[in-house]
Amino acid sequence: MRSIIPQTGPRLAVQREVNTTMLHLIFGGIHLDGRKEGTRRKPLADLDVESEQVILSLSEHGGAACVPVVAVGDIVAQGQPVAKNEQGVLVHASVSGTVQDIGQWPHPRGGTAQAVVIRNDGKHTLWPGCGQEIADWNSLTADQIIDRIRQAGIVGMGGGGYPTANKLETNRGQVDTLIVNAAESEPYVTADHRLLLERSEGVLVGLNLLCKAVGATDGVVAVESNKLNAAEVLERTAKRCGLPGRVCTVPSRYPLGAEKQVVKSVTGREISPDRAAVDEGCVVFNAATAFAVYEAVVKGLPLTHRVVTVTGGALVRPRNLWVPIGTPMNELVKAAGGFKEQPALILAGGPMMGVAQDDLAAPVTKSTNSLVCMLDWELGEKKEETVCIRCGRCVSVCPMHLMPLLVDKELKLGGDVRELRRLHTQDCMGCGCCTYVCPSHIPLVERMEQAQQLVKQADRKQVEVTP
Amino acid sequence: MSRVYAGKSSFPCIKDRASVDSIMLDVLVALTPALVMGAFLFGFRVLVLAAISVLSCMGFELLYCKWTKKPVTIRDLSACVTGLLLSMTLPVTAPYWAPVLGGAFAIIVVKQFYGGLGKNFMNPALAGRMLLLSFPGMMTTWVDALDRQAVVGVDAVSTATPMAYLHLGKLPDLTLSQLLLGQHGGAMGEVASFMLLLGGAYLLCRRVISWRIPVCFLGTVAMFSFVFPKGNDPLDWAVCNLFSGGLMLGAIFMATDYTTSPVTPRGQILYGIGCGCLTVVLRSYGSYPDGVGFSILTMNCCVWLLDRVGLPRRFGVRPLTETRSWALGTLRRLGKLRPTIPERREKAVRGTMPGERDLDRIRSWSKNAAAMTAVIVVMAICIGGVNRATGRIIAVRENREQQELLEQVMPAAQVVTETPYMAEDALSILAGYNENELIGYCVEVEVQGFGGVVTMVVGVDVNGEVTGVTVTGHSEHAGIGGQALEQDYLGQYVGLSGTVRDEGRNSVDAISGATDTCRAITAGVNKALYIASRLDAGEVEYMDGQV
Repeated sequence: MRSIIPQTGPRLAVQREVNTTMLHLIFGGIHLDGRKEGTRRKPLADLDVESEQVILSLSEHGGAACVPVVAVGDIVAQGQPVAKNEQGVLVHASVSGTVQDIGQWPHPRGGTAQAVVIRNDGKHTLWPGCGQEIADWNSLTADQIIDRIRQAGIVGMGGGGYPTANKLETNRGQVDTLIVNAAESEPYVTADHRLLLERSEGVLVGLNLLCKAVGATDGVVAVESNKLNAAEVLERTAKRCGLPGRVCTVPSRYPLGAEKQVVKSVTGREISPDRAAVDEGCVVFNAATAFAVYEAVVKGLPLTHRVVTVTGGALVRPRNLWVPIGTPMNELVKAAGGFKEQPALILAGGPMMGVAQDDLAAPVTKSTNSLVCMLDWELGEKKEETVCIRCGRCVSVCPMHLMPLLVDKELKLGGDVRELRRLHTQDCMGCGCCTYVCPSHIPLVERMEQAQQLVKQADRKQVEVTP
Repeated sequence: MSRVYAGKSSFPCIKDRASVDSIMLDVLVALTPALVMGAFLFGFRVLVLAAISVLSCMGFELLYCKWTKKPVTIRDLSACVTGLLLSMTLPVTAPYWAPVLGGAFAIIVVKQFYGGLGKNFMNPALAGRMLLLSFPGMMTTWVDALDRQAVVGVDAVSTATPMAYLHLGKLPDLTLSQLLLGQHGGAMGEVASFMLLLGGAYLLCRRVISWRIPVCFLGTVAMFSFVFPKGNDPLDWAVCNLFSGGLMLGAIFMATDYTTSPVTPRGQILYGIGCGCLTVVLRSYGSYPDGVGFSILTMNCCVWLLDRVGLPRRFGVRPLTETRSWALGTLRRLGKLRPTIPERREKAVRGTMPGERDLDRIRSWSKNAAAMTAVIVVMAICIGGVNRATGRIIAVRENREQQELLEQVMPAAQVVTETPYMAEDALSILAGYNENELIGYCVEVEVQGFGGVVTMVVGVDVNGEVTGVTVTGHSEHAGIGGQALEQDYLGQYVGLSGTVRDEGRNSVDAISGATDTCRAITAGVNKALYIASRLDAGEVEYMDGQV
């Protein structure tokens, strides 16, 4: 990849201001301590020592789990499909080697899932079916782009895991604005930030390819105001390469990474409850997805690698890694220098919405953006739940305009479903702002989930009764 | 290396540092400047009272928790905040048992009986204060700031607070800095407005309270007092209203109490405005000079309603969508209404008239109706009779009192009637008649005596001569000034006219040792003579419709 900043000419130290006039501020949200200093200046790096085996989890996509198309003992090349499902979602081998095992394996989302385990031979022989570069990507049609994206097995890499090709097809012709979400408002995580800084051209090309595939006229990269250098780099790259696409700097507030909030703050459109972004003419992709689309369409490479931030106070050398998908988390910890202290908690994802990891044998999946190993002091004091003092903080931070304290009260009174429906508990997206701010240490997100389940049960009963 | 780490953990796994006790500590910190200023202004007793109040509140909380075997909750410092707030609303002269009684009521009745922290519907500190208002003598004896003698002394000299002036529609004689720093009479924690504002700024910076309730509360009071200044300079009036009485303490610390204020942003704004409106109304028309406490307690009872009204707009739903759909639905339903002629269900039965059945029904109702009417009539008669009888007794007594007064003041007159005259300084002017002939006027006047106000009635005949003097109310010392109030002394004034002097010609013999009282009575007689002379000259205001 070429250098991003032109080598000639004076380097201008331009301080970009957060453009608040163009912004549509969201209600609620919290200003978190970013804790990104550990990795925000660490460039993307390959693993020092390659993993001996990779574990390709087969159930990471939305929809049906994939079925393996290889058998134990087969020799596979890097980029060769090893599993697929009836929707046409593919899983590719991220290294070349021998299929060692097909069986249950720990999954970062918790529990176990079927996985194809490949013993790495270290040769990285490329599968002949991939690697066809297309220099003139501008001439591709939307169908061709979507086809190449499907062949590359790309899914939403921000955590959603929905197949990108399917999303493009369903939204085709219905959207005018395409947003590449690089807000990354979770603390600790810097994966998208480094990707924007170092592979900005790829992200921008991916943005344009996605725009073309879905028929959007306006492509926007949403960047949080704590990554102004990334915004700067993106704008320079767009100007240098003559790529259309603009950068929108949004304030750094925690749940801005969520789809509805990013659409609201970039375009000012509010997505109605029970509807999706497409109904407001918007579609949102993660920055890592955009880069994967660039690699798939322009370089012909399937989705075999991704950026993972390995950070936290327990690690000796926090860093951003460019790793084959399927690398066990043990290897990531090893690459980050191992533990200097025993971590209190290990998370896949950020501390607000991440998933605690029981077993470090679990592999990196397509939607794992970080591994955070936290110490006790980073977690803060765990305190006993006390009574609600009606301070109203949960109301003032909820980005979905909900009233968690009333939901909690209603549940303690027995959980009247009619009342819970009136409080719109089904709108909750579980961002955790309410639990974060609660001075009485009430696990409000859990209460919201309970309420949602109660409402769902009642709905099911109603459906059974009505026919 | 695959080991099992911290299995299930609650999410999010990082947390804000704020907790209930840290918030309460912030409130205590924010209250400290005002308390220290109060101690500076009113003396050490302020701190003693505050300490008693805090300790008694925490003690009652501890006792209640032990007694009901609930987990002890004094560590959350909420009882401490209640105690401090309660003590700050007390006058410095309050007896030591006052905060104990108020604290017991606040903590046990208002807070714990309703379920403890977070469940009470009224601000405990304010409720305790309102209970103590049942002892008005204790709760309305204010001493002036920096008047140590008054605090230490046995008989505290009551001073008028700025609120007392405002209640009368007058501006207090204070500069802005005196108002802000609290250099005037008032409750020990309420006077130092500037310190309270500092505390409020601290709470805002620490995000303990939001701006909505205090700003709306203070803004409403300022706006209304600016628009209706009662004949004073609007700006002065608004500033005095803002910085006097319990408004600052109420708006910043009492109204923002978490448990008893709305949680929704819109509800908070409405709550603040409601508190402000009620405060303005109660200050103007209430019997107590200040209405902040009552208005906050009243609005506390509306919190549930305000939270309903202020439910935040659902994300993704346009503003007023629900209102609009409700209105449209109602219109549609109204449009479906069709006027129809009611059918007569009753069919003619042979031998009865069609209305017979109705009649039966009415007959059965009439029994109940008659019983009820009888009760109402009997009660009306009782009440009316009692009213009449007591009215008669009252009238007879008043007549007798008037006759006694007349005998002393104007013996020649047989009857007095009220006059349509109003003169400045005269409380009332009565005309005395003898067989339809005007003899003179009885003028009731007020003068400043040695110990306080002396109210007296002076009879002046049509020639401008005093016919009699009597004192109807005074607060003179019985041993010293008392002699000057006896008829022996007062009788000397009979027959005098013009301007009575203190000594020399046209004067009376003063009683030694009661010179001040004598001078006061002379001044009162002169005042009455002057008013009566002007009455004859026709130079008085004629108040139509006052008779």
